[in-house]
Amino acid sequence: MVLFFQQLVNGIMLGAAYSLVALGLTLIYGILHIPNFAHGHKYMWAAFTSLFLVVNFHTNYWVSLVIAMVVLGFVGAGVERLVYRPLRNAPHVNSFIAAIGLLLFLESLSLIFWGADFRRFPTLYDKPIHIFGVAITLQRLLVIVAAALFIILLQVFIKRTWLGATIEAVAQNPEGAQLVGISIDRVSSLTFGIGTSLAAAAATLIAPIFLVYPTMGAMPNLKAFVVIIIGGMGSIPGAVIGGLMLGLMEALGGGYISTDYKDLFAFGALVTFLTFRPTGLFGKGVR
Amino acid sequence: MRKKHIGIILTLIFPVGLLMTATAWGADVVKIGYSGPLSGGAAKYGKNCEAGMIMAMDEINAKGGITVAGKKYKIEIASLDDRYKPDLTVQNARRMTSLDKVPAVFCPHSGGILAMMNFNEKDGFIVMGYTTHPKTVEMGNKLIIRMPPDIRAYASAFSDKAKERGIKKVAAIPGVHEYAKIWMDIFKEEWAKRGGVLTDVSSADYMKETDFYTHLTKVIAGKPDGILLIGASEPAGLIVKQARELGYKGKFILGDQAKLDEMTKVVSIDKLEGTIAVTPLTNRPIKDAPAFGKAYQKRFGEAEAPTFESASHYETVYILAYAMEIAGTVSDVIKIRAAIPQVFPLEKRGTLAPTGVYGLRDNGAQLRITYGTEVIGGKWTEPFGIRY
Repeated sequence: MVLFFQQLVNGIMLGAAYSLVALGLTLIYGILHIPNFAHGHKYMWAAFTSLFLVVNFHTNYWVSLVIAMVVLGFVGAGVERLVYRPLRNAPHVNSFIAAIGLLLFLESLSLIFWGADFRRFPTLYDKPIHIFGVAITLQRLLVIVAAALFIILLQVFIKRTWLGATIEAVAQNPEGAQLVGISIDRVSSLTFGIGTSLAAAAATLIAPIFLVYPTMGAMPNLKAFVVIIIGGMGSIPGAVIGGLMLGLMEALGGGYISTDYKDLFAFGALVTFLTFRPTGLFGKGVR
Repeated sequence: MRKKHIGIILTLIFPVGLLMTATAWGADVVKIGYSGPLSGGAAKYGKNCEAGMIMAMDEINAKGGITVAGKKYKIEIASLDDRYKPDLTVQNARRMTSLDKVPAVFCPHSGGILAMMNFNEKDGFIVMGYTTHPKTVEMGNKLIIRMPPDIRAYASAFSDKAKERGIKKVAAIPGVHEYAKIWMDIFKEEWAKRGGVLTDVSSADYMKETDFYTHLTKVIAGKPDGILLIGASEPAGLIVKQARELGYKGKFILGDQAKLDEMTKVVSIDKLEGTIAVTPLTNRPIKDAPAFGKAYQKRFGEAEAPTFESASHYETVYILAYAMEIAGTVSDVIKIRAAIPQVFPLEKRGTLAPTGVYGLRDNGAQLRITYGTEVIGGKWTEPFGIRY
């Protein structure tokens, strides 16, 4: 029984991590309809940024989380301005290609800038806690709590604030939003900025559990795509449920059947959803 | 107007370009190929290998290069990225043999090595393989050199040691790369021969996995007293750390890819208590290892740990250079290969042999004594020798 609960907790942690990464991705997709393949690599850059702050300037962990979010927020807005905005009226495939180009660019740049080493993120919170025989570290609990917190904050921001409302308006009807005086350009930058700073938050929270290296974003990015396909492209509750489903599937499937097939469960779910419910759990239909 | 500008620029650039090619013609250059992962998850490993080669190249060139049949040659390393993918290794090898006329291509992964061995005899180049894969030297290829020892040497020595330390039940978390699979198979055989029990095998992608809790929870449930890890150092270190978090108290056995000195950057040594692993390069009782370590850190910085793969590549570039001098040719690979056994001992030639390589088997396997180490009481023990 302890074994089951341990795997359950493992799964929830994994799911929370996936949800955190998927959150920014789904926001950007939901509003701008750009498949931001480079999301995982911005996640990687964020991890390096906060690692750099913590190691070189001995910045407080939480302060560096905020700084990384702000810095990456501006980077995200800049990327939107430089890479995606000129392609807004171009065929859709162009932004696909741009996203992949950006991904390669970011990875090579990080190799030059940070080097190929695996780095360990120093953390204050890696003492294990044992609750009824189930082991978890404080950092892992933080990931779960932070995932919940960011999801609520984002939902409140979109639904309850004036700025958030402009984002939702553009998502629902870009022409209408423009007619009432909302600047599409500004909303695009804003969305990209927020989406990328969410990636920064995810990276800073997850990095202490794992290692920091230039390709660290590739797998979380892939899993985040699975999550938003399961949950429904552009849906925030979808990212949460999708993330948890995926995490639990991997932990329980991996734990009870075989870890060799762990990714098979994840991508099997992806194929199943694409076949039988391409809009995902909370999707509103494909445009 | 624009066209005129281009004309002016071209007339300016042309003589400069001519001058540059002229200087390149001035000194004869022999290129040596390297195809390895320079980007992607294994980039660090690939760069370590390349670093050893670059170091040897710089040293040789600083002394004026090599003399082959009375002519001076500078050495140049032509390196291309293959991202650990055999198909790219093949492309790189073809490009380097046809464009750069390299007599040998170095490669640090079994997939690429085996792929090149399909055509290296026909296309005429020596494959310098850094892999512990036993098959590479068992196929009768006449132009293969394998640098490190065999997996079986490690697997059997570590099985003996584990037995000696009272380990009865082993669970394994091997990587998903080819090397890890073969390591696992050979360990299974050797461990069974000694009457050991294998409780669980739970493979994990060391380069991509976000978390090892799932794997560890599963294997620890089988109550093993030893966990075998086969994969890169840093992720292996992370697995050790996470295993302790989950309350695992037993020992670890590490496949030879994981190096204790690299792991201690990720996990504190007290968590590694009871680990059986290969001895870090500079802790081996080899005369030239510390000198190489110093030179390496002087060249690449204090923070860089001199690794066994850097040292092997360093030595083998020298071996190739001397073999070309002895054979009196930079292009006849059959003669160069035949001259390699005459290079030894390296000591006589005033070259460091930091891994202690002292000879070559007919099948192309380099000979040296290798070492294993245990972690006891928060320290590395005296190395024990592994003969193969």
